[in-house]
Amino acid sequence: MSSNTRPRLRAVTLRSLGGSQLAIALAAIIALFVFGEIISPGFLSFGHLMSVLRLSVFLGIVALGQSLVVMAGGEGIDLSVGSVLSLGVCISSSLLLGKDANIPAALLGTLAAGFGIGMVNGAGISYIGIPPLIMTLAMASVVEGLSLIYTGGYPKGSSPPFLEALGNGRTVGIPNILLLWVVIIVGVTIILFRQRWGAVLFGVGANSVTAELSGINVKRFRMFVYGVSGSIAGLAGFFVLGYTGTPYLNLGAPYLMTSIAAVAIGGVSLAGGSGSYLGAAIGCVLLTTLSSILVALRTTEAVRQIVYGGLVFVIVVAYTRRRRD
Amino acid sequence: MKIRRVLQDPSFPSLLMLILLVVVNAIIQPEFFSFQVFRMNCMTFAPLILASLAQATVILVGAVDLSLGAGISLLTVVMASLMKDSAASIIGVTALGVCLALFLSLFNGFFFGYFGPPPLIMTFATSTMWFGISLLIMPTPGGYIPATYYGIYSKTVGGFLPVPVIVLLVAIAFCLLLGRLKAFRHLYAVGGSERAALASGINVASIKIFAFLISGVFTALAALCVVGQTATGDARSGQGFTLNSVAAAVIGGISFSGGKGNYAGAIFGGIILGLLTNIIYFANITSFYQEFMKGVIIIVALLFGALPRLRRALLPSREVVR
Amino acid sequence: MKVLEAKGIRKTFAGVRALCDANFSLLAGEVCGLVGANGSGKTTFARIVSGLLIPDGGELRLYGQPVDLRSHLHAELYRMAMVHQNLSLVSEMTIWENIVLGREETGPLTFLNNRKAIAQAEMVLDAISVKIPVRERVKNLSPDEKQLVEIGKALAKDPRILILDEPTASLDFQQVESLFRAVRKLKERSVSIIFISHRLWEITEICDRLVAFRNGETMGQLDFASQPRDERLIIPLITGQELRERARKDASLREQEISHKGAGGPALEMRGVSLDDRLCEVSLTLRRGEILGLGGLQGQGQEEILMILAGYLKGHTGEIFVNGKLVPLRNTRHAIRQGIALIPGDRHKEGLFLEHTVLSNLLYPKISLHRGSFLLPMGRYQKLAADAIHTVSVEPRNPRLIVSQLSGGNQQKIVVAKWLALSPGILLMNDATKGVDVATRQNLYAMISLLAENGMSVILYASDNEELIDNCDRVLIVFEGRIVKEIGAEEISDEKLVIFSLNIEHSGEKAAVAGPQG
Repeated sequence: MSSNTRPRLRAVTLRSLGGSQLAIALAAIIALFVFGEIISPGFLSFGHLMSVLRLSVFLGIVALGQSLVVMAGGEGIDLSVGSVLSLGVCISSSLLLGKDANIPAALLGTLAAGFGIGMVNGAGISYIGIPPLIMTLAMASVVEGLSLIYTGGYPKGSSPPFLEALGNGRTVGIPNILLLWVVIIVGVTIILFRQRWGAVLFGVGANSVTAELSGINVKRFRMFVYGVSGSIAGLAGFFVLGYTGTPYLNLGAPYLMTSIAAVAIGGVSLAGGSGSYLGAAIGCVLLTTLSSILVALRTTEAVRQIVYGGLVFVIVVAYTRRRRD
Repeated sequence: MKIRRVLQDPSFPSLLMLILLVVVNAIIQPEFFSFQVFRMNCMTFAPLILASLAQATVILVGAVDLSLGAGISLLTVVMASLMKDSAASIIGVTALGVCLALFLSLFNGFFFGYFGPPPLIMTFATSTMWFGISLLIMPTPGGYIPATYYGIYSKTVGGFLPVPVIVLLVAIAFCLLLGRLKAFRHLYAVGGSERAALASGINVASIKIFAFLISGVFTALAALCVVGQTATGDARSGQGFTLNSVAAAVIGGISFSGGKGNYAGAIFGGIILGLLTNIIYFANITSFYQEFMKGVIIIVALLFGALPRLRRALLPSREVVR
Repeated sequence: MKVLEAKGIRKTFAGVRALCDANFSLLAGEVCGLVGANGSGKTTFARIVSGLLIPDGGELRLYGQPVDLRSHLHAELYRMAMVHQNLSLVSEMTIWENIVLGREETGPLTFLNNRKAIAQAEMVLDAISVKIPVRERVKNLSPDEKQLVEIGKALAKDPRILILDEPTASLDFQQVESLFRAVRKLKERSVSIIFISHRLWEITEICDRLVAFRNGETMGQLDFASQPRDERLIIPLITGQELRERARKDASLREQEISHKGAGGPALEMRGVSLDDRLCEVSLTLRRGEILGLGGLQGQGQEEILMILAGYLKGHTGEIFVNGKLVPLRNTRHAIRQGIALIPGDRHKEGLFLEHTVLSNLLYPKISLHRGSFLLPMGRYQKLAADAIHTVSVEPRNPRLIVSQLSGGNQQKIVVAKWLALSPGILLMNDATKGVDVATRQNLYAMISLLAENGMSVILYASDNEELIDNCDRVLIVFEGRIVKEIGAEEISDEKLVIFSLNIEHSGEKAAVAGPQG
């Protein structure tokens, strides 16, 4: 029986983190890197490895919010993360204006905006009963529009030195943002498996009636999870700004569907109630590596899209097939 | 008794919304009821209505098709690359387009039916693939569609029936035909409760494939209209249809859990979204706000459609789960 | 003539031997009961006979011919149908659409022939004396009506053998009677029926014979043609031992005990509680240490009362007092903090996280209430879980098992243990022993009685009158959202329960209306 459906309240074993599915994903990553080295020598160099991992971080942060929303059940999904990230970039840069001193204000503003948007999603989904797919999809349009309105079409500002160091700099050769991500992964895993909030989350996702009867206000909890997802997407935008230096519109678009794919690859059941963030994180690395290879192959966007889509297709179909056996 | 059945029909709220929007649109847009405007609206609305029908079929069986838009794009690209001036070419390429649409849908349907992956991600993957193939064939919008073809689309038959309306009538006839089919009843069963359908001896996998096949027919018609309207192949032309078709179906009362709702609602939903776009355009909202307003209005429309559920949500929780 | 004969059926699942030597036979036109504890193999056997499972060994004969059933559709070719609990109805569709589902008659071009379908549905329902209009949507039906539609659906296949798997779970006596009427009509038409149930009084009422399973094999038979219809004869076959008659304390002794404890005031009081059209001015008092029963027909508001007290249903008017203090009970957390615990009846939908571990399930309410340390105290939790498993004797004892792998009875034990672990002052039971075998049920109630003697107060709703009679100190009859009668300890009897459930004023003349006599 595949072990990706058992969150445990005990020692965080490899099984509880996703088991054989993750082993396959890890093997695939290694295989891809080897392949990359063959077609483009230097691919497997430490510097390049770190570059790829660094790129995965931004996707990884977006995937965190997505994972939480999916784990909370009720066919949860957040299709607004891409546009919230874009909005996060715009808000951050306009508040930062290139100065380190503005970081707290910018961070707060971005998180608050993301949280607010997420709460609107959550309210519509939990309290009005609009299916998550549609609610968040519609909000994505709204937020896209908000970005336009807020920036007037021309995003202003730029990222300050500290943030750029975080996004681009390295410590002992390892990208700073990657170190931050590792800390986040560890922290999130502890919360999911050893802390009250995580346990409650898995229950809500597994069976909302049972959870409600056990004293959880499911509607409020789920709304809050969407709020968290929104603020995390905003945070991702904040970091992406650190990486790019100057803001552009629609930076978040590529992150949306890949975050969902990463979550699915990582063994988080789309029905909710099981999975782990580590799995999603590995999924992010896999997808980013794949993108990187496609770029190294100097393929056109067309080929990249086909290969990318084809691979996700195969993985998703194969996974479900295994689960049925 | 009959009145009660009409009032309780899942498509009823969308009908009300539709009437309301027609009134608003008539106020805002000059000469709304003139034949010229009517014809233009039909030309613009037809693809979306057909896309809603396609999406509705898929949602009814308990899935969703995020590759709908990309499929339409791919069709426009293929047709615009191949079509020449001769009548044989026009007819041949059109037929090819229809077959391609069916193939794309069957591809989705086959894997969904026999392997059962989550339709959201699966169709996202296929949409990426179709998009890639479209880019491969036609990296920038272009191609060639003979005037004979797109000319037909803007013609009127008998002086009062625009061609798009005829296409819609064909689609409606198809819907009525479907309603009498055994497989279609089974579609509702599979969407309503897959377990019950299995227990009743229904071949669930083939019904799922059937649903996607039907959706392919509607998608084909939608693509033919898009080509007739734009006369170009464009890998991005179908992008808007995905969200809009889902929203239209849901606004029209098709329930996301499957097995509930009907084609009338899907049609109303499609028209509603078309009217909304009109209203936003004619209300002279600056382009910056248009996307924003569109999203807001869709949410409001969904709220409206969720009213019966909203009423139950505000009142004490009725279900004592059994 | 033996329409069905099974010899030496064997079946093993992943190392667990579900059946090792099952024997069974069924004659034409008879109703044969199939009884056994949870895990005895009777459900596995029923599924094999109906074609849902393929046995590892043994012989199955239908109408004298050996058969090898490959699927339930294959079994239907032999005119055998199995009726589950509401597993094959699509709630959005109408009754007639459901009855012909999968076997619709079509004209040319596979166009549906609705008129024929409707006529067939009406005919089938008429054959079992069911009066619901066939155009009604299934989602609007009550549980027993749905069950009857399920039977109708099976009947439409014109079976000669019908397997009814727990058809009466959660049905009240009136609904059971209507079901029995349908069964008797089927007998008249020479349909043979296998009747699986945990409710022994039903078995003695409707069956001609019964077969008992234990530990995967046939343990014994009873033929009511030659033996008395007495439940006490059945129980040893199921449990393998003489039933220790649960020492029920003398009613007056219980009264004394309770009044004694009642010095501190009632544990719970409801005054004038109303909930839209479902409850009207419900007032009741729950004394400390008492087991108060809620009786009456199904769906009269008993569940609503319990759900309001649990904090799950909101929007009610009226006042609720816990230990003399007025509490608003705004949500479930609030109720739990007041010491109220609800054991739900539908464990799959309301009581468990099927894909989570036993540990995770047992501790969830505790975790949700956790305050203080940032991390959860896993050491303490492990111990609590082990204690809980021990208290209710869950088998197997491994807290890391996934709950879906346990048998139904053990799953229900986990649900009970989960709530008892909170040491509630007030325990609410919402038909909590549905689908649980008699031995497990007895143990659970023994445990609850003990807790009641130590001060826990219980409100118990059961659709099975026997449970109310056996376990309650007092019973309140609910009818159309109101409490219409209070039956004190001395007078609880099946007859009284039936009469007052029907809300008939004059007990004497209407006694004949009542169903099974106690």
